[in-house]
Amino acid sequence: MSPAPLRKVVVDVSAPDKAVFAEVSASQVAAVLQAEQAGTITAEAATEKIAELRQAQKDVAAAPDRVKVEPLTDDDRAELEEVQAASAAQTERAAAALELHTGARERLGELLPKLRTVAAGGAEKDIGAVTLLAQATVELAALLLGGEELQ
Amino acid sequence: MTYTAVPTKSSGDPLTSALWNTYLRDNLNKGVLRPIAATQLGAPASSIALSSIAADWTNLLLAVFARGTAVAASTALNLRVNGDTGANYDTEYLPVAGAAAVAASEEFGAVIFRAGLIPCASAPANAYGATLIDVLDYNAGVVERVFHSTSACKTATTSGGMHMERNIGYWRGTAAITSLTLWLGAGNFETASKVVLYGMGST
Repeated sequence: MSPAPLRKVVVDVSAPDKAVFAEVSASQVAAVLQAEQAGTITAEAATEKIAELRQAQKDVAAAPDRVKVEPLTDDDRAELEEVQAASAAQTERAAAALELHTGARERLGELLPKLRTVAAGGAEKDIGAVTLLAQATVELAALLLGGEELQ
Repeated sequence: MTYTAVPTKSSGDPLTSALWNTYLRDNLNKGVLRPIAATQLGAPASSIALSSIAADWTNLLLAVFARGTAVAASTALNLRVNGDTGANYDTEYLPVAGAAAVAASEEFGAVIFRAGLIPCASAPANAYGATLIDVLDYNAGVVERVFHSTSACKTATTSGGMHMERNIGYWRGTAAITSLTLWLGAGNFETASKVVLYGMGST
């Protein structure tokens, strides 16, 4: 018996990736400070930019988590049961189709020697129609079997 | 928005915000295959959902690297769109294993899209399945949404233990796809199963 379902994972694609954002944001702050030290931007501009970045960091920190792990609700459990039942039914139908196909091939393989015997017997006795029918059936069976019985 | 050719950077050239936005941000966001969400399980889970998918792309590619906890050799990997539990999924799939006969299967008006097959607890240790699911034109026009998927699944190291499954599916809904949820035929997704969603291109 498989373990009981425990929980679900929900990834909110639109939510910010906090780890990635923190890394990028830290490097942006460092770049602003470097630019200020190098004199490429004014101290006032640097302060303003860093304030923007800090605010963005706060906004992202307050945003919902991107990946949530939650217990299954009753609705989730009902959906899980429905999916599993539908999936099992599909798998069963696929297995039945394969069994039918495999059975047909096996039966054809069993019949092939008999058909060859009839074809040979008909030819020996010069029974044209029987020979033709048997030979055609042998060829058809061999085609359906992928040529493996032609040897 | 189309791809903008990236110029050669000379020594001392500053990487300005304009250059960054044009050659990095816009190209990466709109012109190439780009991962937009990923998660790897730290513990088993019954389902994995990707929600709030924006309409930023033309196509989606969902890469699923997964194993199941069910005491079985394998189980089906199933997909639902926008939480739709109705009989709105049409599927054709072709399971192949070993050198045995092959028989295709079809499902009309199913309540799930069968996307593939993954190994479970009876399969060799550490054998995870890999399934790629393409979702084409997932948000454009009022048309049925189409899926293609292919699975690799190892359940044994003897003949017949290597499985390949090729699947196509239609979702009869015509709304833009905003969420994709993966479910298994039995059991849970095993720890370390991983899902990555990519956005592909933009018109």
